[in-house]
Amino acid sequence: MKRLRKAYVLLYIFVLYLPIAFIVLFAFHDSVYVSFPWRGFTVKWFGQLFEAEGLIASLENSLIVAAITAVWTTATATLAALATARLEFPGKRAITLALLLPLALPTVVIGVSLLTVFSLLGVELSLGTVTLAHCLFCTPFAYGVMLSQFQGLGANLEQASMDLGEPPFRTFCRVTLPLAWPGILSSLMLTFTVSFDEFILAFFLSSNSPTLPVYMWSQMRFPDRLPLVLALATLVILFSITAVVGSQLLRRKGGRQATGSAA
Amino acid sequence: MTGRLQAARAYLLLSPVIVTVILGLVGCLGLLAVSSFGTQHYLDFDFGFSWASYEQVFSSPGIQKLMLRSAWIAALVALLSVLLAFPVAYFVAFDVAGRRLFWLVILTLPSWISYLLRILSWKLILGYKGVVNSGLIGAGITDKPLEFLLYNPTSVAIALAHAWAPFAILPIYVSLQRMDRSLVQVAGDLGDGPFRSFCRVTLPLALPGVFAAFVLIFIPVFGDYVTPQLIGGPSGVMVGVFIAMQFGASNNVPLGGALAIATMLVATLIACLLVLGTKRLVRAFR
Amino acid sequence: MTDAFIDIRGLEKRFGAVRAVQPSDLRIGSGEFFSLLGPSGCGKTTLLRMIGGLEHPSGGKVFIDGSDVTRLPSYRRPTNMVFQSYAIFPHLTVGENIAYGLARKRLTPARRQAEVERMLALIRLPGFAERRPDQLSGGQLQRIALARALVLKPKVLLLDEPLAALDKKLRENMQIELRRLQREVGITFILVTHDQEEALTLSDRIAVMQEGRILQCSAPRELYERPISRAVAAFVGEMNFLPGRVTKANGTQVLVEVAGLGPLAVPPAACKLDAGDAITLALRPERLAIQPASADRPVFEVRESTYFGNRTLYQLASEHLAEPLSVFHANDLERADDVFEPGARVGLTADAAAAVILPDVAAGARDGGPASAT
Repeated sequence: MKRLRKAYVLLYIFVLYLPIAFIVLFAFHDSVYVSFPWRGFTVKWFGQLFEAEGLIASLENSLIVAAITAVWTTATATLAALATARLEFPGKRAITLALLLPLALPTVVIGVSLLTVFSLLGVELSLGTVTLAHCLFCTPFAYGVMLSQFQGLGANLEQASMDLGEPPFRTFCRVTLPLAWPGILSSLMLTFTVSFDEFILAFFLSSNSPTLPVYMWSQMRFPDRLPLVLALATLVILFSITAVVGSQLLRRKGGRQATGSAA
Repeated sequence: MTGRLQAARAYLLLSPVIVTVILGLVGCLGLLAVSSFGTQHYLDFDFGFSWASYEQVFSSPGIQKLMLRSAWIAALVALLSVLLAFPVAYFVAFDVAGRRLFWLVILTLPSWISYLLRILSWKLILGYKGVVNSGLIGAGITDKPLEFLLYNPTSVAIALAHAWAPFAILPIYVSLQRMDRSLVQVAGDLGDGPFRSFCRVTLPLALPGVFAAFVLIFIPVFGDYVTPQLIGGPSGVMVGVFIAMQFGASNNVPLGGALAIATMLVATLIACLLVLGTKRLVRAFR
Repeated sequence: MTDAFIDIRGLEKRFGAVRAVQPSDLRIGSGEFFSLLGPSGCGKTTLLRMIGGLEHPSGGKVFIDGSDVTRLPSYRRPTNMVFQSYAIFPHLTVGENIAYGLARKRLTPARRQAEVERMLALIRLPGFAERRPDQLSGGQLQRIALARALVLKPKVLLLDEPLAALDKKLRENMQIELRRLQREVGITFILVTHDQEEALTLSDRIAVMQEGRILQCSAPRELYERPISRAVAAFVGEMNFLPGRVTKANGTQVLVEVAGLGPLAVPPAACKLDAGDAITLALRPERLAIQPASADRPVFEVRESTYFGNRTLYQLASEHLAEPLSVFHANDLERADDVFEPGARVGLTADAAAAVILPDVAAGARDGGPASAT
């Protein structure tokens, strides 16, 4: 039975990664067509990326938006997770739920409602609006990471610090923060990746300054640009994998460090 | 620390997120709801109070058909995802002792890779000149490309199921992993074979995770935009695409708002009904 | 007011509808080694944490050295706690851990170093300043937690089951260490434990708690020999409970007829007794002595024996008693025949002067009530 399950899981993983593998494969295909027969191996598409018009600009845009989003959401979510994990207050359950809510809504709905708000307020669409949208959208991710970090860390060490004379703020600086940094780093990487890859909100809210996914979307309708898109996609996939794996390793390290002192 | 002081401190710490997320979300959805009661005449939008848009949403046969199709696809996708993911979650929870994180990362990694790219890959695979077709032609199995592979509801469902499947793994895994292992052993000791103890002990305890996974997938898929837009074609349009159109070319903000609100309500309602219905069924089985 | 160093008045803690600690009073003297003893969930840790400011009381007041500290958070109270999990900061060295609380005191680095080394000497871990916590054993971490708290010279040291995680031998050694430390440093220690032997060994006074209530608060000897209720008597040590009837009571002595043992002259009780009253007598197993069976003594049959090395616990049954009696017999190691096999018939004498009259069990839930400190 167990062997059957393992075989199933391996098959599952194979099917899961197959489409991605195809993207990577055909990024090296010496042909404009994503089809067999195989016409040879090349890296020229990667080279052409640098000359592609608008690519570098959209990449810059994505990096800026992702960086700001990562910092803002991680910082605010850390405070929120701290409050949730350590304090009792009315409305706690409601707020925790509300903070995780954006994950359960169709992104389109979030996108169009933000669009409505901005147009009614007369705010012009720009990278700023995209950033705002991403901050809203990415907060649940950061919140989830930091919440599990603080819940795993336990209040013991902080209580010990306060018992030894350090008021809450100094306790936060001397004990909580140093021990939570793997979670913080992990959250930064995660939210950065999510924002970097996010398409729908950026599509609705960015108008003239597209982010990288929006740029890719615009290129997809040109058949001869397809390999370029694939090459770009390959790089993005590589980046995402590195970021996510790194983020998970950091989370694990954070968990291990916290339990190192208990008897 | 007294209760009041704690609450004050907590809300101070929460204030930035409350502003960004909660007020942001509430504000937007609220505004959307308000504007859905307005009226629009070509490019002029008025705040009014009119049920016209909602009437349109609930009476138009075209929209009804759209909702139905979206619901059907979403339910299918959620069900498939959950069924396919359950053995995987079981495997990670029970069959691997030490390397759980490793397996979880491998299994959930694709879900972190850009959604757009994954749907694009399906376009490549199922397309007219795509991998499957060229592979079949090259292998001599067919001599004309298969046209039915893309741009229909089925291809949308397949792509969605593939994309969302990993999202079902985690909730189910969490449920299973929380289970006390000795419960299964006790069941065995009391006479249940592996299949019976699975049905009577493991499955019921895993159900919360299963339901969570179902709802978590159903609602976003119901309103999905990217997949139907990329590979749905005219027959594979889903609600999400139609909503987006109202804010773009069709220029009908109240309708778009009404649709969005209706979509969320309908999706939540259906999800709850399905979950409750299944719960009843399971209870009857016991 | 009061001259008690620590004065606790009506301190209580409620978690929703659950009363973790009933309104309780305690007075603890300066330099005293005081223990809170009780089973898991009896509220002793909650009470300790309220004294330390880590738990906010639902009612009552705490005075330390004359000042009302009830509203003060833990970082402003003159108390320090040693946590059950030690709570050693994993990201700091041993020396940095110990010096943690000194950061506010603006000492020169040299002074701080000297203090750290003084503490390390005190806990007998010299030279450990640069070590990291993940390299150390439980016993060492526990001592470091102690040092970290003591270096701040608190007025009161609170210890939350500090030895619970240690194995038996290490625990016994650490108990001696704790006692020595307390004597040397001279400050008030309040220890929470569920191990009654530990409490009896270390403390000047013990408060026995059960279900949020303090049942009795006395010196170890008094607690052991004169428990005031069945709950306390049963919790501390082994105890026999014998139903009996009063035949005569005067100021200095009470004559009790105990089924199976005959008439016993026991010390008087706190409450008033008349001839004919039904009472319960509490008698320690070591206050009963096994004698050769003879006609003029009540006869008992040996049911079970448990060997403890220097003594054996015998269960003796008699047709007059519902429950068998527990008797501790000091083993005479010189004689090989000083063993009683199951089935053997023996006699018994009781040291009646050591018997304690308990309030009748029929009163049920009245076992113990909020008792004030003695």
